[in-house]
Amino acid sequence: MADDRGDMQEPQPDESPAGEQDEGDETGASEYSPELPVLDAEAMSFRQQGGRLQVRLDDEQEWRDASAVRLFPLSESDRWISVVDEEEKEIGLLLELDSLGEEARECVEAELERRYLIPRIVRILSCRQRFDVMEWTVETDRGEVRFLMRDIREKVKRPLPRHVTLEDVEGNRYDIPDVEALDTASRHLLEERV
Amino acid sequence: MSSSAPPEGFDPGEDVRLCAEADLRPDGRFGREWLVVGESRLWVVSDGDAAPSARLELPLEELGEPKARTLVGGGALEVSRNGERMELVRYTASRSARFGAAAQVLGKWLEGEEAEVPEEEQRYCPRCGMPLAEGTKVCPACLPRTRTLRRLIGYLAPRWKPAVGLALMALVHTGLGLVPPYLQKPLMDEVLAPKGEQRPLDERLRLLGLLVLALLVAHVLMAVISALRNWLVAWLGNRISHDIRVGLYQHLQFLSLGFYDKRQMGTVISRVNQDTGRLQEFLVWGSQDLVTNLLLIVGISGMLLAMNAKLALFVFLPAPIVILLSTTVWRRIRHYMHKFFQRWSRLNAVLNESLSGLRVIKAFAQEPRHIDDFRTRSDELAISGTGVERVWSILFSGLSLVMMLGTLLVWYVGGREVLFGPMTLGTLMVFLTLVGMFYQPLRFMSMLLNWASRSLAAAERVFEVLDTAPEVDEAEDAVPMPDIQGRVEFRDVTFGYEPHRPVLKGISYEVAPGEMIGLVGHSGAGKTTTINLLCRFYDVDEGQILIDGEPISKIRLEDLRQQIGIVPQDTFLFAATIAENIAYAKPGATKEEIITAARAANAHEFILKKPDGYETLLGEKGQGLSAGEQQRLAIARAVLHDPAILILDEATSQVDVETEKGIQEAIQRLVEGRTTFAIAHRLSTLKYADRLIVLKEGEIAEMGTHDELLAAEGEFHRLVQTYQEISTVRAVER
Repeated sequence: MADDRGDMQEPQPDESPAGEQDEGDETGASEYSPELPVLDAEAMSFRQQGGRLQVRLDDEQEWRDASAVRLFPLSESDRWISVVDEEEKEIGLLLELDSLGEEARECVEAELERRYLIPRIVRILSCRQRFDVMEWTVETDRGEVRFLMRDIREKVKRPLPRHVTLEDVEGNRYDIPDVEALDTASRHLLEERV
Repeated sequence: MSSSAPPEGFDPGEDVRLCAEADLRPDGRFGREWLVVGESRLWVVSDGDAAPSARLELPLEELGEPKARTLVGGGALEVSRNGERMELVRYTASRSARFGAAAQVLGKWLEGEEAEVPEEEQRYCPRCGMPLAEGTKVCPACLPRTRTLRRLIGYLAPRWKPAVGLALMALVHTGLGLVPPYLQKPLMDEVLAPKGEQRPLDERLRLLGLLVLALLVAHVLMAVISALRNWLVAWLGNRISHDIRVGLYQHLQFLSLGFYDKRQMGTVISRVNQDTGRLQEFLVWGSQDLVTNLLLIVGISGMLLAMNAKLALFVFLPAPIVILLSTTVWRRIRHYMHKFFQRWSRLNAVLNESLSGLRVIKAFAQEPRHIDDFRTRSDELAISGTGVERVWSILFSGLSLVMMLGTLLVWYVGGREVLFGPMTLGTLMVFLTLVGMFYQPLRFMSMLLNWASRSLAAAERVFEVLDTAPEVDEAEDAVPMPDIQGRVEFRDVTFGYEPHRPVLKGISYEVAPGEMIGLVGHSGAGKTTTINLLCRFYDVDEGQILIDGEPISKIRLEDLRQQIGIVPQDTFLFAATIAENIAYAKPGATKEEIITAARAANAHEFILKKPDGYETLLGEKGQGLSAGEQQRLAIARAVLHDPAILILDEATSQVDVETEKGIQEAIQRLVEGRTTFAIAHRLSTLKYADRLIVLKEGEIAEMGTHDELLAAEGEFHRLVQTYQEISTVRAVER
């Protein structure tokens, strides 16, 4: 399909945290400010309700279906968290999870836990090659799992020097956050195969 | 891999309409859960320690708005219950497609509509459970090898004479190869070191001459046959792969666009390039090596057994070890080679990227960083290259040693036979030579077999494409329509690239001949899809599109395409001259026609400024022309094509005001007297259109003239307002 880059965009009513209603379009020139929209941990309250993150700001505004997004999911898993509404529009930034109170922190962590499903490989149990398919059995933080890879060359990536990701035939990703932290046998299997 | 029936031991007590298996538990760990939808209720069933039991049980009437939410590395199915959103199940990417479909169907049910549960796509081989490669149904593990082989041989059939000749030559060559070792026996026993009584010296000398002459003849014959055979094999292999390649390309040209949508262009290209290349490589070299090696092994084994069965057994003893060892050697080497090539390509990527981005690198003064990067990569490559050689040398030395063990065994056991037994020195020498010849092919057998099976898989992938039927088929009773008036009617047209995800939903409208229609809407509203259907790149799912009252599925494809012209958003120019590019749709066009078209498209003026005028050679994808020039060539092409129905997918790239004016003029001339469908991005185009159709999420939101729609202050009014704001800003920026 040809993409329709230059398409006209419908102006959307926006809900900025300050609650002002202006008529900017989605690219939001009027909403822009050079300062980062850092959220004041004191003014926020977080709640988990039916598996949903609910956010209140200054007891004035409330988002009943909010979520939390990691801006640097690989290297900074509990810093640089963006809090977004149900349309994935940013409400504001949390620089450090630690700056939140314990309860709020647990709520946000639960939401992160819910959103990020990528398993982390703790140990590689086996790796077999059958034709052009590689069968891996690994232990992850979500339990033991067996997956199949093809096109090893393209499906193994190293986004950071020690961070390796594997993608299986179904599009699932498996992360190894730190290759050096694996046990020798696992590392050996990995080095030999990929 | 999955079941569409609820787990055993769970009884919902009513008919199950939908069941989908999830692979994550609510705590995010791997495990099984099922979403079960019955007539009046919905359950989420967990695979507990004991029997499966319902974790959730909800009456359908309380639920609404099911949505498959995409998470990182998977997703979750959510519904609203009494106004609150809640999560039902979580799953990994493996199950995303299934739950996406489930959410769709469930949504329809909850609104009281009918919907069918779509079948799950087959992504695993039903026989062995191996995953199937994208866009193929061929399982590498359970290929019907013999069938593929037979089909490959089918390509040989028209050239059976050289093929038979080749087989004969292989046989003779192998036979001749066994002659020299065999001649060693008389050479030793009769001439050089006879056991027992000796012949006179001059007779021995004569025999020596004869034997050496025979050896010479055998070697000359072998050389001749070998040269002939290599040449013939290369010829045959190239011819066959040429046949396959052309057949494949021809077929690819006639496959519908739907085929390409489901596959990445890269995989299609590799079918033509790599798979046929791999086939040729094997047909040329692999097959003959395989045959000769097999013949050699059989022939030598026969000779050894015939000469001395006991000694032969000692030769066979290390054979399994050689086979086993060489298999592992090849596997190891392959891994290292992979790594080596991977690093090569990474180094190339670095080189490519940094050289093509040199301007940026210099502008930000980042040269040292890239030099460091390159050094690291190059160093890695050097290490890896050494590694390959090291492994290669160690493993091969090991292999040679094992093979040498066999030879040593023969020396010892055979030597004893010569000393104490009836064995002659000649027989021993023949044995020793044959042993060397025996292990050689063994070493390559495992590699060759691997090679053969991969080539067969490549062949199968090629055949699979050849077996794909063109999706848009011409009806057998297709009507020729050499003269289209240009009346177009959309009648309840519904279409989606994937079933259950309609992009156009029940669209109906009529267009009079010569009318210009402007299609307006957001991306994804269905504008491009409308055009794809009109050109019959795809067939509609429901409803009909009629041209001059005839359904387009009944019009001869050739006539249809001949009378529909497209000015696409991205001009595609071939690496040829400007004139050839303009005359693309009408290869026999005269120079007058070409110039007239170029003038109508306001392209003439820039063309005559080029040193080679109309014969200016364009690079790939129109390299050497500005965006505005490319657009005007595309218009000239359409002018020359002179279609009854014109499709104008307006380019969005920005050109300067003067050029813009030129293009607009050209478009006005082009549109004159033709039924035109324009995907418009420019306000001026919208103004000229006789009628505008505003599409929104696959439905017609508004339809009418420009002024009517503006006055109505609806969807179109809003779009125009935004657009005007943006263009004011742009005008100021200029």
